[in-house]
Amino acid sequence: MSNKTSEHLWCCRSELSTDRSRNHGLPTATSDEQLKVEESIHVDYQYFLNRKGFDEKELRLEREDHAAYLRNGLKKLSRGFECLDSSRPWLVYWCLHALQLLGETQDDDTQLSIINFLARCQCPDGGFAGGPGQLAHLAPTYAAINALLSIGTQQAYDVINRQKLANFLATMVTSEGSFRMHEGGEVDIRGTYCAVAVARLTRIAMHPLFTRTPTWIVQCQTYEGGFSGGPGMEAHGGYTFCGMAALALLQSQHLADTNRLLRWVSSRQMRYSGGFQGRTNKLVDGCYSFWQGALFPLLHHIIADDLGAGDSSSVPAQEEDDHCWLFNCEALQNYLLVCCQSHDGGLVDKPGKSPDFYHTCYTLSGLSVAQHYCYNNVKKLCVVGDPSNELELTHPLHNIVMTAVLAANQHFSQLPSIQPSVCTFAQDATPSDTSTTTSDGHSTA
Amino acid sequence: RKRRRREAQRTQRGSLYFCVPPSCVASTPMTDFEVQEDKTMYPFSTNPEWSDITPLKQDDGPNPVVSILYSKRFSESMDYFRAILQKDERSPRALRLCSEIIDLNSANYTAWHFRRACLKELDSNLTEELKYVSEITLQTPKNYQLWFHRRKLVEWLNDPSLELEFTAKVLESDSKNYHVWSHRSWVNQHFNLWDGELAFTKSLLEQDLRNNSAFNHRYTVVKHTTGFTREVIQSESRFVFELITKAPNNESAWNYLRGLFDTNEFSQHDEFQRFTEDVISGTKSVHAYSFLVDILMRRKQNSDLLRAVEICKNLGSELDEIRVKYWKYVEKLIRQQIQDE
Repeated sequence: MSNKTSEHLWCCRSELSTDRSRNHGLPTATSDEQLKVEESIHVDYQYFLNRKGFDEKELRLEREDHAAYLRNGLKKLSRGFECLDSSRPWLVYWCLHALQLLGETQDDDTQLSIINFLARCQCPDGGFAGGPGQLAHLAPTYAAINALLSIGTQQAYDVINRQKLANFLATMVTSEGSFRMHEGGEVDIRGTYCAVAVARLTRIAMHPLFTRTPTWIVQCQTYEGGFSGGPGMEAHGGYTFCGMAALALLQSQHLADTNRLLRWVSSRQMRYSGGFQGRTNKLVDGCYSFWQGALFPLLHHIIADDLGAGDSSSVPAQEEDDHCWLFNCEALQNYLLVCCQSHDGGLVDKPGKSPDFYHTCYTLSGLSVAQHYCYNNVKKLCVVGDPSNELELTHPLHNIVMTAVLAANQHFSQLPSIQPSVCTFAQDATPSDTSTTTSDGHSTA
Repeated sequence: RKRRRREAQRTQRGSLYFCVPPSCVASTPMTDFEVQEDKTMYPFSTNPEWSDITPLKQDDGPNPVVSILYSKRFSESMDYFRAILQKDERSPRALRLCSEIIDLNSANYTAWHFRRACLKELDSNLTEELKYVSEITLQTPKNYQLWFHRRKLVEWLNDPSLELEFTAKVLESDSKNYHVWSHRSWVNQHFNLWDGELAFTKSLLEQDLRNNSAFNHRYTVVKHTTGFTREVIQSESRFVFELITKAPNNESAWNYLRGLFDTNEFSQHDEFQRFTEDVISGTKSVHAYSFLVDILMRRKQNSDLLRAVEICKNLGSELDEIRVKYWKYVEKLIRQQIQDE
């Protein structure tokens, strides 16, 4: 499957114009918005196509611009970032991980500074906070641990107080197996993913802490096939990633209706732009390149394992064409490279938006997923544009570089597995905030 | 200055806790409620009310990373907040300090948590507090903390009487705000308040029949009230047929229809199939074809399955090219089904 010539680019197909949304009936606010976005994407695509003597290799990821943007982010941030003062480990992770995808490592001094800062974000009772002196919270805990493991030195690993972390997780779990984000805080599927991911990476025991978790997660799969933030809510890309990644890490992926999920996530790729939307009838956004895109490697493993049982002729990865995820990897890369790069460095949601570290992290993560196919020892690269666009391989469940996951596994497997020293499910004086399927709407402690 | 901060908050808010991406800056109206210049306690250092408190500086360490260049007001307010936290002083002035912090950074979950501790300790008027959080909501409606705070208040008050109207109001500016639907859904379930919900979703769908959140809510309402009985499926499908007729390419409506179909209560596929074939004869709707594939796969007759295979081929090669790999996979599944029969 060679895409050396520009005719193979998604935005260069002659049928592209037929993929513009046609109302086919009543225009509404949704369709108006969609048409506006398509128009701005069209402008970007046209600009690109109109360049004389255009060769696909001209489609370049501006690595140095993005790296400079990220390196600056790691250092100092303007006053405008006061609203992210409770998310600083996130800022570290977004910048660090994005730089790693670009193949950049930090020098020893920077690594040490990061390690020391994150150590100051760790709380006396375990877990990490959004900043020094704040309350422990599952989201910055996830970000901090991902960042530390991305550095992957002994010193970085040693920051993590595993026993306290396990205790923190045990105080966050509810009787239904879901997790609060912080003490007295909201319950939703992000918490579940954050908790499972960090426990897996740092070798905290899965049972009894997560025994009830898979049952809760599957309650979040909706009639559409994606997962919602909590039972009954709308299927959403970010929450779907959290749900399925958590299930996979708990080795319970078969509890989900994978065919329904596959249909839903596959339909989230926009036929015109090639990018992904987060929910049905909403707009494309570069960050979903990862949240939705990473579901495909996940599903591939589940489906291929099922199909491949015994009969080798039904294993999908037989023909050359099949060595790829079940979404249009080229179209996604096309969208990201043409529409999502900011000239000042950093990547964006969609044309017209400003870059930020969150979008830079997740667009690049999605790009990495789209470029790298690997299943059953078969590896295949699919790099759109300049070959130098190739990024490092990211782990689709944790979203840190694969080498960091392998190194962490190697390190923590030599340590004993940790059980919380606090009773699991003990703090159920108040019911969890998400309703269960019981008719009175309350959980029992 | 405040307006710029609010703008930054609105654009950045989506980056908070990764799953909620920033949408285009919502044109939420600025209300008058902010910590007024004359009501702020800043500067604390010269404020006699705070003379007994030694501020606690932030400990970022000697070589900080992701260092934010805070304004003086932000720094000092946080210094005093840290001091109060350390003392665990749950007093009226602590409550007001929480307001200051929330005003500076509405995503400071520590401040919201401590605020709740103060409210409890002081046995504060929660109805007034609900007014406070409502005001802030209109400025930053996509913030996790304030919606959760609202939920706690409603729980403590055990009074949902304002909630349906309030959520409806916020949905006027953004009919798909995830937090709002989540809150409304919670109110429905926690208080068993379902009257009028179906009608509510209907009115939203009348405004925009592509509102997927409204469809999802409708599904949840039916599930928790009547359930998907044969009669309900019939009336619901009639409802959706009408919407599809108005906009045959509307994926939300087709997904809902498929949701009805999948409840399996409805064993007659004929009506669904007739409708779908009808749509196809008028418009080459990808979703109609896709749904037809599902219906045919359920029928299990070889002729139906073969027809489904043809449709998949057509979708992959022509109508829905972006999903060619997906359609090839579905084709494979169907062929396997044919082999197994």
